[in-house]
Amino acid sequence: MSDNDLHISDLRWDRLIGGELDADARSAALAHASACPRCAARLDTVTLESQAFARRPPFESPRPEARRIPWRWSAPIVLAAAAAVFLVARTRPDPASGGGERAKGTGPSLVLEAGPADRLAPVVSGDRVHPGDSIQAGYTAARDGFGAVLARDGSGRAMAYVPSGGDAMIALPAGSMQSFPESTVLDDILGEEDLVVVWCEAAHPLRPLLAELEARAEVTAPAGCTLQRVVLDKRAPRR
Amino acid sequence: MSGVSGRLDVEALYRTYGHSVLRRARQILASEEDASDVVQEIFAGLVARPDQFDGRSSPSTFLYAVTTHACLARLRDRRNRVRLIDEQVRPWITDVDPGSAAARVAVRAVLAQLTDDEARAAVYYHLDGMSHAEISGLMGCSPRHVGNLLGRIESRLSGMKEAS
Repeated sequence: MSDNDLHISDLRWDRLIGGELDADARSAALAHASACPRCAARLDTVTLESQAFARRPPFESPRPEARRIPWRWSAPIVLAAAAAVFLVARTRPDPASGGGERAKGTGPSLVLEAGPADRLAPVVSGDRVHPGDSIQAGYTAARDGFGAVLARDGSGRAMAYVPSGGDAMIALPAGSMQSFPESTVLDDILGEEDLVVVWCEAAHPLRPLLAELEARAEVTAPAGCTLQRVVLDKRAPRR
Repeated sequence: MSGVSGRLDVEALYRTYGHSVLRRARQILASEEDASDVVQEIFAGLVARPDQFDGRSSPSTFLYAVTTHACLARLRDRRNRVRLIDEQVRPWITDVDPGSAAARVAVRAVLAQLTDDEARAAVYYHLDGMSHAEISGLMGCSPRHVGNLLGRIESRLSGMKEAS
């Protein structure tokens, strides 16, 4: 019997605090704690943490009155030469890729999700995707800005997924949980799919960023820009 | 946990279980900033896709699984992995109390190098202090399989200790 069998786990304390335990289970857990200093201390700690968390500001869920472009395919889908990854994970600027600049507390949050259209999931570097999977970038920003989604595929070629043409960043109006206006579907070039989501206070030309991405496998954030980089592992198609 | 019109009440989930998500993310990632990001990511994800929680498991069980997945995904990030490995002290410690701080440090440092099943079992056992039975319930496998996973982790840790 391991030590864990002799004591109450955090899961059980969380269930107790969440009101999930029935009366008997609750009594048994509390009775154990009354006779076990280690568990009593742990219950105190978890309870205090719970109370401290309750004093934090309420969760900022997206406001229904806010202008919001629905995720998932309401935005125009661009079937680019590479293409569709659906991105949704809340992310932070990538300090390793140039240290995106942003004003403290006012910068954007970039969101990413990827996978088959019917099973989208948040992604981070190292996650696996397949040809035919879809990608979409999103953001939450307090001010209007401009953006792009850049990519470097397994062959080392850099291209812009968003916008799908031209050298200018697209306008991104301020808002919560907004979608970039275009999505992409991944092509069949396997290997590392290096994605860089860019949000800037002012529009910047894409050509220098793409040239740097292709030559050095990184992008330096221009002034007033925030970058989020995610390197996905693109493997052979699903069977 | 549903609100009006049967919709998932994410705010209520956040108030009731947010502390648990934050604590576990902090334990796994050893970073207050990353842990806060995981909390936001998980609950924002529930707002965007409430069907993730289908009510077949308890909210705490669901959030344990989601939190573990989100944190391990972050650890798989190569930069994060390098940072953690560099920051944690070698050699690996294996012959210690599973609930001890030393064991937590050792396990946290190698999570990114374990398979997904091993990493989840390691988190539940060493960081959450769960019994084999609780882990098997969360992972949907037998207690015996949990024992095998934990044995495999110990072997890996021993191998790393010898290699370091």
